[in-house]
Amino acid sequence: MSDRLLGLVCLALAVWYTVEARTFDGTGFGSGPVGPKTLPTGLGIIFGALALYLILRPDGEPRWPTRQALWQIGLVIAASYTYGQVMQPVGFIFASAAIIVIIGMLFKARLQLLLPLSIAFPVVLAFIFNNWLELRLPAGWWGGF
Amino acid sequence: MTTAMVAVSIFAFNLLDGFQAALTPRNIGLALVGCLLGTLIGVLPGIGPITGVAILFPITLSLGLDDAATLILLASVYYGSQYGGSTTSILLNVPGEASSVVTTLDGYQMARQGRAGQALAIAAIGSFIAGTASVLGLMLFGPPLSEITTRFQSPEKFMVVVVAFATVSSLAGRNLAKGLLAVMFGIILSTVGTDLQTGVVRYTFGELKLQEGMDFVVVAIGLFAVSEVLSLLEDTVRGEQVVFQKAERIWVTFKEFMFSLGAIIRGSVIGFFVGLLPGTGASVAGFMSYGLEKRLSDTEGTFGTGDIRGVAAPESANNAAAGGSLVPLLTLGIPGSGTTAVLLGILISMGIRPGSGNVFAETPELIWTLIASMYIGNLMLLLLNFPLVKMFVKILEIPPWFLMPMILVISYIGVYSVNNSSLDITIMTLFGVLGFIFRKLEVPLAPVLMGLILGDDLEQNFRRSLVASQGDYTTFVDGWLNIILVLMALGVLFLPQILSRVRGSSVNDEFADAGAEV
Amino acid sequence: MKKWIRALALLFALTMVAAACGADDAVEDAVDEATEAAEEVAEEAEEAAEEVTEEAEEAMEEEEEEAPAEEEAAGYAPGSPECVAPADAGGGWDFTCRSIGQLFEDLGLTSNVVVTNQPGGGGGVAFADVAANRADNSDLVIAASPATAIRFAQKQYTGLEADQFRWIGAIGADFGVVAVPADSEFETFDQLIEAVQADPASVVFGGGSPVGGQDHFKVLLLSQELGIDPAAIPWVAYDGGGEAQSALLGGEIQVATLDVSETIGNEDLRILTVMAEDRVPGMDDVPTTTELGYETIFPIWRGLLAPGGMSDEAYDFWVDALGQVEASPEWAAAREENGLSPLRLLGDDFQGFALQAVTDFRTLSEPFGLVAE
Repeated sequence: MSDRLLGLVCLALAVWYTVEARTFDGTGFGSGPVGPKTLPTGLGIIFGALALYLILRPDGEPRWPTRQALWQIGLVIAASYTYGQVMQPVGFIFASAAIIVIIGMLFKARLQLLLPLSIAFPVVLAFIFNNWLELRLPAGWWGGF
Repeated sequence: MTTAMVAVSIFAFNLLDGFQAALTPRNIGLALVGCLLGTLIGVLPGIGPITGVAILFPITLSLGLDDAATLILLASVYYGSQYGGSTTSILLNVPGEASSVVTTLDGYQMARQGRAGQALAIAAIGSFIAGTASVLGLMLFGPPLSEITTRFQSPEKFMVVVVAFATVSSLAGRNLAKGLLAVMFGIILSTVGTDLQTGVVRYTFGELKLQEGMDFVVVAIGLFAVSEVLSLLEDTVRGEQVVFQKAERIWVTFKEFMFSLGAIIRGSVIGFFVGLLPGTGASVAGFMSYGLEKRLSDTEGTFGTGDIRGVAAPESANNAAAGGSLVPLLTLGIPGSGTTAVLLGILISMGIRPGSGNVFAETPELIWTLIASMYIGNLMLLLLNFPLVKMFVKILEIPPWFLMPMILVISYIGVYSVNNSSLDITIMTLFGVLGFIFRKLEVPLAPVLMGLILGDDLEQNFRRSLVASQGDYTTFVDGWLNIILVLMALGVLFLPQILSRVRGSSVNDEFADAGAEV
Repeated sequence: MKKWIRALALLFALTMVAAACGADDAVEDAVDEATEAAEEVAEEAEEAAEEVTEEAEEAMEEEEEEAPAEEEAAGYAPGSPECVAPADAGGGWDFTCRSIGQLFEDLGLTSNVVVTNQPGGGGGVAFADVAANRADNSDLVIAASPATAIRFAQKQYTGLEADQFRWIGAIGADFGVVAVPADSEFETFDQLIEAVQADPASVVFGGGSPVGGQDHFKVLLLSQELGIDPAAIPWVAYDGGGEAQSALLGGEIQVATLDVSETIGNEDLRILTVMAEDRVPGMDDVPTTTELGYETIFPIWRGLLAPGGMSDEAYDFWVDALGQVEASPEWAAAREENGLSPLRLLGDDFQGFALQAVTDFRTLSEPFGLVAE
């Protein structure tokens, strides 16, 4: 069933991809003997055929995560997304400390060990990036390095 | 024959001069520092050899070092960062750059089995041997080989990419259809962005960031590293222990070395020759050598489950390709890759203009110093490997509750610091989820990256060929070189079948069938 | 050397942190050890850092003594100067930022200039970010070249126009060249033009940019002047000038339009013309397009621009600082090493020049549908 679902999703992707490909026209210079739409069109068709094959001949079921695991994975994804969004205003060190604590706790950390490390590690990293690699990380609330 | 020998002795003599210029205590110290810094840079994903050297070069200038010292420092940084990239591939399943993708396949499995030390050691040994071989190749055949570079035009490069794709079934895993689906998906990803020929923008959803295409590092780290963290999290919830086997040994035995030697030599040769091709070389080398090695040697089906040769072959090939790419750079002044472009800039700032006649015959001292520097960097890395491996293997002893967030933060920030884009973190996370689902459904991940890396080369070289030939398709089979490449592609496809015939065994039938379907 | 020592110290400290978390049961010992080691290392690093600072201060003092006559810059001084390279490390814009930024610092004009790489969209990502989030930042400059002007002209920086930014100046220029292999049948530029005029499809051109990009623009400008339909001339796009050269030498294309800096001193190539008014150092024997009687020139200037909201005071400061860099012997050396010709185009002059270039490029691009809607 899962493979069939994957096949369906891929088939949908293939259809959209191929239809979209037909809109790629060259500029006033034409597009040469083989234009920008040729490969995507062919690719979309082969991809669709493979997706159909998958729908017709699926493998057995995998072992999907339990509900609890799904929650936790969702949490990691949400934390990662938020991490990227708040990086600029909050700054690298506090954002990193937060995500380290969240993910560390999911992996069953002891908080008293995790907390100091969650600050120490980004501080060391920030030091390396800013002072030595000369790549500036957002300072945010930390207020400069 | 005699002229050749004279030439050899002249080259050897010049190289000795080069070494003499390079081997001062201070320079050796610089090589040491460079290798360490490079390793650290390489360990940070997103900051590969190119970025590392490009960023460090102006700083080096402000240190006021002489030319030889600068070259040694930067060559060491370069080799160090390449090694650093392999390190994370092996230890953490984080391929920091295109060339170390295939290393993850067997390297990470070895690490999980407690053989990280051997994997890292063979990577260093293989790189060293390959480096030595490519320096020799450069010295002996440099100028004549530049012929090859210009012989390989778009139609030939297209065929080389086809040969590389022909090895895909060696990355495909159990179900070939899924392997093909994965590689097609990778090529689909490669079409995102501005089309190089016409400037038409494809599949970017109006996002400016995507106009330059899907960033390989972002996709690779998402698919491999982020999804690995998610998988391990699931295991933890299940109550399964997430621990790596403790390493028993950290160095390879002589037997293991001899076992890998064939792979190293083949990897070196393939890498060197593929490295001669500007543009295509570096990324193809790893895939090609892994694919061929698997097809030649994998009689027991151990590749992909932690076979030491699966690390030795691509690592040697990458290093040899770096040496090979020096040939067009030094003889024709053509930078074939991002790294050689940076190197060209460095040489020019030192007053050397490769491509002006034969730099080897005219032998500016600095060229030999450069070659000697690269060699010293290589050697230093091998020596450093003894203490470094011990240290790196320790990383695996960090308990998962800290290792996992560490991997994520380093992955995210490595890319963020280079591109300054939070969209990258989002895309990386999305690919992490995708990678997780693919793992569950046994859709192999490596072919996705292969498609992404080589898809563009495939399309652009195909179309370039046709613009140049003004629409004449015979350009692809025009000339003996093309015919050889076509035969090679067919050979790669049917190699296991041929081999099993020769050996009279049926072990490889499954792969042979797989190959035939491609 | 000092910088490296510091970095080493850090590497060590980091390892220690890693090692410290390594052994769960021996955490305390390891932490102690690590702390001690880290302290030692930190002390060393501090000492090293102090020395560096001292040296730097000395150097700066010397600098000040050396150049007391240099006119006092306007009242503005950037607190945390930053140069945005709207591309990956290692390219032309990155070079502009890193080399000019280093000179700002070395000449004592500003404090340490941080270079930020913000690749994507041919520079569009960086421009969009600056326009949206940092439009009134006076400490910030962005590297630019004709490629920037071309993309503004073709409206590739979605929703942004060139006059929304303040153009500070350009110092140093590369020039376009028309190159053929050394053994080509085309010995002079006129021979090539004759062949193209006779049959535009008979000569295959190529370069390191797509149709409508910087290298192809050289063909566009020339064919426009000659009255040839540029769409009839086959164009093969390569991923950078290096690949294009390889294709040229291998005979896949007959002509490549490249830059002086990419081809200078390469004896495998024959440069038919430099697209400039005056002869270029290092290519003294190559006639320029002006000498050959054409109007088309193609300078690839290296310059800086700034966010639109930059104050006049700050703008004057940056114009003045860039002028001082241009006049310095250090820049002359860096320029020469990189095959750039002298150019000094500052302040309002540059603003006018750049906006005019954008207009011209747009006029040229429109008939071919190269301007985005």
